[in-house]
Amino acid sequence: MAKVKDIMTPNVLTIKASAMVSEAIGLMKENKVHALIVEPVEAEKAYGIVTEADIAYKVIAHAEDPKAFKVKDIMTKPCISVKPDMSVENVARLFQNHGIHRAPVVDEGLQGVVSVSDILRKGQWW
Amino acid sequence: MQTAKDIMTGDVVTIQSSATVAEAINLMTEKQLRDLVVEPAGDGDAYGMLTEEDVIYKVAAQSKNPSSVKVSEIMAKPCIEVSPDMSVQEVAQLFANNHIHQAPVIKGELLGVVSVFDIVRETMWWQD
Repeated sequence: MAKVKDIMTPNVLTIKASAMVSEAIGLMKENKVHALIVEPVEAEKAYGIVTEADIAYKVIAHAEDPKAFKVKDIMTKPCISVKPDMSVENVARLFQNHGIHRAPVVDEGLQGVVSVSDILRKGQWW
Repeated sequence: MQTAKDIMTGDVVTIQSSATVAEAINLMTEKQLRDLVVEPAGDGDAYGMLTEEDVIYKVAAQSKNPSSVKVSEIMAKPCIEVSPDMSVQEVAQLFANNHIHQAPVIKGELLGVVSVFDIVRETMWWQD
């Protein structure tokens, strides 16, 4: 059975909670990613996540200017994180139970990101 | 203000509801897609949508074999449709209200698919 560490994307893009939403959009566009991990302010503090859906639902839907919002205004923090040794099936269940699409992989620091796309394309759960 | 047709992906990949989820996974992997539009079964029938989350939540999380599940068992049909003339803001609002990430763009026929990805990446209104 495949584990999170076998299917995750190891190169993670992070952003600061104090960055502007317009910067987050620029980073996502440039790197073709659907979400950014928000760095903890200090060691041992929780990770956060900001996704395309956060931007579409909370900024664009209200015709707001992304330069007027910070990442911390729309992010989810603390977000659900997973361990590298979790099985693919359990990640799928965790995602289903909480209605989420991706999560940072954390084990003494940020190891990667795992998403529904990773499970679909590399999970091989059957 | 941009509309759905300005930001949509016109190159849509469709699947039949009678196909297996294994076929859908192959198609999504091969074409690097996060969703497929499910074709209507006949005249007057609605379009459907199959997303990655349908596959992960309803097949992988249930430890089911994708070869033994049909698209018709896990798809959303009828799905929420977007008109090509809807503004990007209205599309974002529709998505937020219904908690969806993508929808087919339809006016008489299937024109494309619009997703949160397109909304965030293609929208330029604040740069005017």
